[in-house]
Amino acid sequence: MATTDRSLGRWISALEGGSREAAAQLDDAWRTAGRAHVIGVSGPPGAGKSVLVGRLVGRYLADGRAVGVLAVDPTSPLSGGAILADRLRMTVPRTAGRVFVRSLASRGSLGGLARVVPSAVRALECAGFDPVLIETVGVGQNEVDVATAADTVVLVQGPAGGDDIQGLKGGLLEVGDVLVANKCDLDGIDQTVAMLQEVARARRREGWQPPVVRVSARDGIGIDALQEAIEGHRRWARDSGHHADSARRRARAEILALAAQRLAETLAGNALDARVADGELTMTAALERLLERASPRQSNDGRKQAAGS
Amino acid sequence: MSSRAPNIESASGERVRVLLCNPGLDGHDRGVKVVARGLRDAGMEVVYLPLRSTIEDVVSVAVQEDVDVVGISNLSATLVATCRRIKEMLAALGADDVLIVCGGTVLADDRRELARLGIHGVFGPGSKRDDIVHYIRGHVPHDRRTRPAGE
Repeated sequence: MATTDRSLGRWISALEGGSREAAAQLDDAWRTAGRAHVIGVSGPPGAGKSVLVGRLVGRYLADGRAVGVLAVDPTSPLSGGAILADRLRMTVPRTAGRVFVRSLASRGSLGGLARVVPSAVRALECAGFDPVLIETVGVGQNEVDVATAADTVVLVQGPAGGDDIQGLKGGLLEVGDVLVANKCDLDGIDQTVAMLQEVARARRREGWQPPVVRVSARDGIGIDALQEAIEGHRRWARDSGHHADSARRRARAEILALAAQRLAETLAGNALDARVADGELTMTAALERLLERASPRQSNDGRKQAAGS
Repeated sequence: MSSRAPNIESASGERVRVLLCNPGLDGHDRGVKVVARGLRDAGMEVVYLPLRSTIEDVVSVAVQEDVDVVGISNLSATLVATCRRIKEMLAALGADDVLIVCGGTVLADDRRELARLGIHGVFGPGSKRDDIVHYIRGHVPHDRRTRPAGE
């Protein structure tokens, strides 16, 4: 179990690298770990997610809570590298209490998060952090992985033209439990608030109507109201039984993420893709072989090849 | 360019993580931003800290982010003191396997002092991106990413 920042930092790296030993440590620690409130923060690029997360961290620290943060930034599709700059905008008072911030690169995941996020959330829970905040990459319409990874989803929108907002309506806004109109001092924010309220009203029948909160993350305005809205959603989820649903959703997301990682590693360790490209194997046959090789009983050869490459 | 091979390596999950910082009262950040972009283009994951971070911030972030490399930019002649302190504090946290590299205007005397601290990756004005990348790749312990987490 990770008791220092150093060991927790190493643990998350090992999980990210697909270490089975680290995964076994997580299985072990998870049995006795407390459960955290997992808060996802998502929205388009430049909406103010990082600044807002910094504010929320400060707010929860002031309540005496130990706060974990996972901040995801995009991996360059060309080089595989990434600039992880979320913490550049998160002014977290280092002396205010226990806070652990980890930046993660999306590494090819297209849903707005990184594959390791569900496991890293649990590692933070095992280390005693509650709440755990997840900041997604700046998203467009369809990056809704945050909905499966978090108990409460906060969607952040700035003042924007109709086109951006229309684009969001169909997908992402449907998964928001709390809707934030950020940069509330700027022109055009009333339009954003009206749109968010319309979205919220349309969701009344689900039993939870997402509150719309006006915030200026930069100036620290509306942060208390935002925290109250987040906590309100948590109470509702607990009282209505929705919390059990979100635990199951999180488990499902993590199983699928781990499976995808295992399959990618197995594929990297042999030439199935080349054989499909050469026309030697059909796609269906390649899939069957990949699944066979990824399963524990027969995975030894594939593993050794992958490790030796 | 020469970035083909690194990409394939990074696809296997062994991605080098670098913290770039400019601690203290130095306000020159153009160089470190150019380096950030260069390292990204070489397939590395770069955590970037704001200007005027404290040394305590740098060390805490390096450990939480579990970086392989801390790159320190400095154009105000306080490099040796800064590096010495960061090295000591990393070691105190058990993170003495983190590689320290430096950039900026470095005086000849300071270079000798840095070498005495075991810091040899010092890149002044006119350094080539590929030289920095090559130095980092050559000096990050190859098994660091894949070693078990441990306690």
